Amino acid sequence: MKSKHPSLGTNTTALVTFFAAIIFAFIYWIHFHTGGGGLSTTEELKSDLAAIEASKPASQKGAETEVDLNALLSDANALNQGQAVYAARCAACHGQNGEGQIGPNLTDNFWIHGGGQIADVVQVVRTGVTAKGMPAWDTMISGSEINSVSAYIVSLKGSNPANAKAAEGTEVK
Amino acid sequence: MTGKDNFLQEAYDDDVVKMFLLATIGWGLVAFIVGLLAALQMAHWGFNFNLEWLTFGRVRPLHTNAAIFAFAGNAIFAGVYHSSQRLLKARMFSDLLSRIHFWGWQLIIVLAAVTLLAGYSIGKEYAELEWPIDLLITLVWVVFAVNFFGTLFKRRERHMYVAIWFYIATILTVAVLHIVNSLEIPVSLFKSYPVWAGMQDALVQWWYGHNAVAFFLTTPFLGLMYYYIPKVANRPVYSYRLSIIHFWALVFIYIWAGPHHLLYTALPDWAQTLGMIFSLMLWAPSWGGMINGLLTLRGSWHLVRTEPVLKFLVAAVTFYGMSTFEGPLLSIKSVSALAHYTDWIIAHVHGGALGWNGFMAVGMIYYLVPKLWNTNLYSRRMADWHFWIGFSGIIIYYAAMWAAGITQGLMWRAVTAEGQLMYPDFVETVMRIVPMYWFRVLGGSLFIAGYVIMLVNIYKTIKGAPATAPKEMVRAPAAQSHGVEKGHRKLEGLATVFSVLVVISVLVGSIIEIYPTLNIHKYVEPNSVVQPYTPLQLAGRDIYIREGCYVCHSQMIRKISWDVQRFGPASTIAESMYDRPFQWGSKRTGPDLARVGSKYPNLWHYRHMMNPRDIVQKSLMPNYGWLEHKKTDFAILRKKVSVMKMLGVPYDQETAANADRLAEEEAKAIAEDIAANGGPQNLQSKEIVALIAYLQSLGKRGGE
Ligand code: HEC
Ligand code: HEC
Repeated sequence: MKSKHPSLGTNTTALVTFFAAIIFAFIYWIHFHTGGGGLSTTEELKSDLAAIEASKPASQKGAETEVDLNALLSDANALNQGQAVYAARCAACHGQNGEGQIGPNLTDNFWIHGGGQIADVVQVVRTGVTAKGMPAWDTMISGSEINSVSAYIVSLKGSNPANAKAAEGTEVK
Repeated sequence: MTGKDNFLQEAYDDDVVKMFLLATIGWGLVAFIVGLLAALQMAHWGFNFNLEWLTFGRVRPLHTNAAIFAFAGNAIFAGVYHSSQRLLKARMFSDLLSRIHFWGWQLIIVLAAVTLLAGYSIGKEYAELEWPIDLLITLVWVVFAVNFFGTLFKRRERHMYVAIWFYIATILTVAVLHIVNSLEIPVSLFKSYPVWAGMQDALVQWWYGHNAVAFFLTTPFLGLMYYYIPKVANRPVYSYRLSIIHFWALVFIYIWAGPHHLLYTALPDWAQTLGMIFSLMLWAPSWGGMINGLLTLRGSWHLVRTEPVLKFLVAAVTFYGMSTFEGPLLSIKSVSALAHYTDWIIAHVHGGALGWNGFMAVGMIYYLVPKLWNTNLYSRRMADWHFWIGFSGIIIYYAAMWAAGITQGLMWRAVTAEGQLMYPDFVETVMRIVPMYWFRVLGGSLFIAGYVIMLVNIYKTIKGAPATAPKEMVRAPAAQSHGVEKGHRKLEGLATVFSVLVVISVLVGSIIEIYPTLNIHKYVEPNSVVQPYTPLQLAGRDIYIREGCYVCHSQMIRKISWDVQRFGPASTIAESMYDRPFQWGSKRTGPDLARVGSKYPNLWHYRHMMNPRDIVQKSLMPNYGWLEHKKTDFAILRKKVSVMKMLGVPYDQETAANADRLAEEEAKAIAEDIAANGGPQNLQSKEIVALIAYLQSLGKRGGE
């Protein structure tokens, strides 16, 4: 069953491709592993992360002013957005109505972190309390989502939901 | 010709071929239906019916093992037993060995099905089976090898045809791969730990995994192609020279390509580079095989229109060409960065499995059944229908998974103008592709529909066959030399030399890649201290492996900016250096877990494991309710810790001697924390607590 007519045309093309791949392999190896200047995967990562850091606008690095945040408390759009974020992200730990479950009750006057002002809430939401199981949200949701969900939380104060978890932290009058 | 005394006459053993063929047909159906179940579970988690043994983590290994070893395996054996006897002009060496091979292999498959569903798994992909079954596989493979080489040595055809070269490469290399990858130390009858750890295990595993594709799903099927296409088309193979070049190139190069599964991981860069450049070199030799298969039909393309068998074979070889182009493409580092962990890889695999292996096997079945049962195919029209329905199924499957993989890959890397991840919520990237998962269900169903048509057709064919058929006989003189021969032609007469050369070819790449990693400490920062798992965490880890969490979760944050932004600092070699087996994973249906430790409170994990949808409404993850009822096996922990200690994990004497007590104490603390926060009381003896201990340790044991 062996052919007596090997056709050189197709075979040669295959061979040329093969040798091209071999030559490429050598060049690639030299470039990356014998001081040819190719970046290692670790160096590549470092420079990519640096580029991302550099592209962040200055505004994102500083916090918004107190005034901006307080305005949100009476902004219906922001509160609606905040409620949606809360239901999707926070309810699993703080309960459907902020009554507390895995995380503390967010509707009472007791706070573990800060004094219950919107800026305090923004702060804890942003950086989290990772040692205690409160995630840091600044890489997970946008800055405006953090602000609006914080406004929503402040708006829950005194809502007295059912099954509220016992108070934690210190009372703020 | 020769003298009468040299002239031998005997019947071929076609009964064993028939047995393997029927087994192929039956196991194929099982493998595909289990695959469909897995596909449904990806589209909607509820298709596991909340049954422990039907969760995705157990069903997927069953599907892959059944497709590779039961369906493709039996197809290979049928083809090898049929074609080798004819090519070597000899009956198989021993009928008894043939029967032992057949029944031994079926026993392995049944044991695999039962143990995988029951959760006995060593946790290495495509090699999940536990040590007693690994031993059995080795035994049966040796039986096959003795039987094959026995036949080879009594052959009455001096020159080995190219199909035989590929069979030799298959048998020898699979033996090496299986034995090295399965080196493991038993802890109990159904539990063992691999001798390889962490990055070393990753390298060995993918050296094995990739070459299971190469030497179980490629070389034997190329052998079948070289035999059946010329037979069916009644034409000689296109180019003899091409077959020599592409055979040796494949055998030598394939073995190096494994690390392309590990690009941008913690694997040392030099190994990643080898994986990539050797994969690129594979493209041309692979296409050499495709060209040789397809161009054998030059001048008789019209046969493809009229002959269903050829339709399947030609489509199979074309899919082979597609897959072997896509493979090198996916091995390019920047392409892998996009495709790895996504469904693009699933698309790639199924182009090969359904298109190449599936259609090759089916073509062979349509060709062999009428021949061996001495009759005609019941209906050629049905075979045509099978082809078109099955073909559409593959295309839909392929397209859906491409779209899903590329979509998800792009979503993972998308960042806003401010440099933040555009889709920080992992589930969102899963929800987006669920529609594609339904298309996959459609594609898979069509493939199965075609297959069922074949079942009917084959059943009718065999039913209508005459009760007795004359046996096909060999009539051949003893093999003898045809005068002086040179070069490869000469080698084709020297079975032993040929086999030794094959082994040397595959050992070169294997040794060069694996040997340097034998001392893993060389790659670890000398001052980084990694704590071994506590006994309870170890118990939890074994539950993680039993439940097959690794089929959906990776534990490897790649050195890629968007991986780091999403999951935290890139994983290091040190962090997994005590991991037996490594759990870097290959597919992210859920988020990476390498740094999930202390991300959530214990109670969160408890509730999430009981029902993920209580926490993340759209989660695809199964419920694991039974973990709340099953008791942790504390008693075996001393044994487990001592085996780990023996393997070089730095446990002190104290820990090894008191492993069970230490674990119970740790479990109590976690259970109390869960209860104190409003969860159920008294979970300390339950598996859920061990699993939580393990999850909380991830990324927290040092070595960053
Ligand atoms: C994985 C569970 C979990 C999730 C999800 C979660 N939290 Fe928390 N949260 C906690 C825990 C636990 C604490 C208590 C931390 C401590 O004890 O210091 C907490 C504390 C807080 C506090 C401070 C309460 C105080 O008394 O000072 C605020 C505010 C808060 N979370 C807001 C949110 C918001 C907003 C979200 C959604 C974007 C959210 N949390 C999601 C677990 C969670
Ligand atoms: C069918 C695929 C699948 C399987 C199998 C699976 N998971 Fe998941 N897992 C997911 C998905 C999807 C998510 C994301 C949604 C969620 O949090 O439920 C997830 C999320 C998680 C998370 C939260 C990660 C984070 O950073 O938020 C943990 C922890 C987890 N899984 C553990 C496990 C464990 C342990 C097992 C095995 C017992 C397992 N998973 C099996 C799909 C799966």
